[in-house]
Amino acid sequence: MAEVSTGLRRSRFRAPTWQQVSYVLRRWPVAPIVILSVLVVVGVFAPFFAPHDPLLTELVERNTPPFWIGVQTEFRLVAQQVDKLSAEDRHKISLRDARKKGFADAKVGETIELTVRPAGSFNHIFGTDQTGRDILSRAIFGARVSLMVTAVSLTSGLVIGVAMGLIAGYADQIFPRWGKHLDEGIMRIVEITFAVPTILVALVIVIVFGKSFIVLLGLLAFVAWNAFPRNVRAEVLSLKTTDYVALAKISGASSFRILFVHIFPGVINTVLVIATLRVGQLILIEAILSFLGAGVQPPKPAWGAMVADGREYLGDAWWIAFFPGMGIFLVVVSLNFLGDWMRDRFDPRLRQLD
Amino acid sequence: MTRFIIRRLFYLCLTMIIATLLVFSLSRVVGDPRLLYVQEGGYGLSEEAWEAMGVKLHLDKPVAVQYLYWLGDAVTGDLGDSMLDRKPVVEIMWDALGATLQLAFFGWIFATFLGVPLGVLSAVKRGSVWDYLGRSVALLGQTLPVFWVGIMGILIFAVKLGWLPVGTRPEEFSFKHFIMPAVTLGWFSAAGYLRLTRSAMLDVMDSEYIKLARAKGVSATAVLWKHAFRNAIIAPLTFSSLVLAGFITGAIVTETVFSWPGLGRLAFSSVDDNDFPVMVGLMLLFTFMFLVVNLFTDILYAYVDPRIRYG
Repeated sequence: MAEVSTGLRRSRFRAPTWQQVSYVLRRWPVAPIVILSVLVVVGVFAPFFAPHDPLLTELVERNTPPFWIGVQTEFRLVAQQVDKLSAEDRHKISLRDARKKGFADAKVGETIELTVRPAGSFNHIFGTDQTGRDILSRAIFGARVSLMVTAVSLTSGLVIGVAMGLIAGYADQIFPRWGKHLDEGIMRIVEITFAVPTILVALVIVIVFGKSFIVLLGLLAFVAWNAFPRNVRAEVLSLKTTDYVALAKISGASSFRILFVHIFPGVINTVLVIATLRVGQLILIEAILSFLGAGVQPPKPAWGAMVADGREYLGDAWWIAFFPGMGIFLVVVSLNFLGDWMRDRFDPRLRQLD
Repeated sequence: MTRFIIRRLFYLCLTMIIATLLVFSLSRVVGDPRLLYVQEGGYGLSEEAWEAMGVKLHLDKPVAVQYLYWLGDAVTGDLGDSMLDRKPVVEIMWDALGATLQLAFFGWIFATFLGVPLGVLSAVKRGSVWDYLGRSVALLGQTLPVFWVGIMGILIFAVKLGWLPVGTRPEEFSFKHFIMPAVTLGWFSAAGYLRLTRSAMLDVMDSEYIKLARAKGVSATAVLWKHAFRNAIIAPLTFSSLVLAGFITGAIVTETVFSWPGLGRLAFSSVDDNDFPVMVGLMLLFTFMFLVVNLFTDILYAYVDPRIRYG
């Protein structure tokens, strides 16, 4: 009896072997899912996670480096008079300034070690920007903005695009007389939207309607929709010749019912895969627009705009531009992996997309 | 073939007309196009200029007639004056065109010479270090934001290492100044070329005639370059239209990052200055270039692959 129970206890938990771990890692996109979940959770509960107010400027703490970077010091020769503009006196400091900086017993001719930049601390993990705003907090709130923008624009783009695809594919059944022309018309429009450079249309629209959040959402929805109709339509075309659709028709189901109850479930896989692959592009386009100053408007933090800010201070404070860019990169890479994985799993035919 | 070209030409005109319609209706969305001048952040118009503009744009006539007048002007090369410095838009764009074309040329060279060979290598030596390198380049090209690549390039190679100049394009030609902008611009397209070459190469290497060539004892080099590469290169060759699409977005961002005095930075500054006519001119120009390149690649494609012609 006792032997049996110990046997059971032993089998309750066994540490997974390396093969098992690597099998799970290969089969499931673990890292992308972890990164994206962290992003979503942190973004949604941004006020809870952000250590500082993203808009609070503390000029005293401006350009503080990330926590692992130590104090930066320079040796300066104390002199009576210093011409601050001349290159020769760059390594000198005037007696008055030295006293002001805390070297009360400094003498002329002495060399002192001056702190040029304070050390980073855990107070600002990723440092601060040119006006002393905490970069981590801004990045977190920027993630929130990005999430909201992509969620809204993708949803509206998806609804419009999928509806267009469904209608185009099934038009000849709903309107037997002129459905073909409707199909043709929709597909022509889609084709033309591919021929016009998106970002330029976006910039024209921004000039006409002004730089605002609503305009940005509309723009990105416009960018998002045209990915769907073509593939959805192709899917509908093949589904409508299936036996079960024919049987539904015989049993008297309306076109509307056939389209939504019998055909629509069949295109969901395709839609999901395209949507995942599109999110990455949407985030990139949003970042580009914000970088160009045509997207999310300051002081609202956005990753693209943060990189644009940091561009001016590359020599002094690389971290301003580095971290938000890294954030964009990580998110887009994760979405790519996830999208590829979903495509291979749910709809391998879409492989020809790339 | 002629019928094919005529059909494509007709299609080009149609798309161009729709683009102009779009732009025109955007300028009339606010009602009176002159309101764009007096809106918040606009430049203001004097009483006489207001009247003169009304006459020039034929604002007393119906909208459809206004469009035709505007279209006629646009076709004959009159896109109006910029709002900022009141110079003809066509002149401003002409001044900036050279810088952009040079940059695009070097960017394209970089993209082709990195993408195609690496694509071939990673297909031929599948599963090797080269394959991993190629696939990582493809992934990075697709996912790294263009502007960030440029800025990190400046940070590493100009600020920290001091190998390359930070500044913009100088008056006289200097190759060093082209390296970083060209790489930044070409990065995305290089990844595109790479993926296309790789998948085309893998497809071809798997085909029957390659197996036949191998079976009858053709040397590995000849199989690779004479039989496989020649057929695989068609897809990347005709990929130029997508490269150009990437270049249009890329040029705006790259030129903004490097303060490059070309069309892309013009687009950026006209958004900044709310300069509607310049932006409209740029959009029409870019759309036109895009469509023309598309047309040429289609013709090239149809020429190389007869199945397209009659499809």
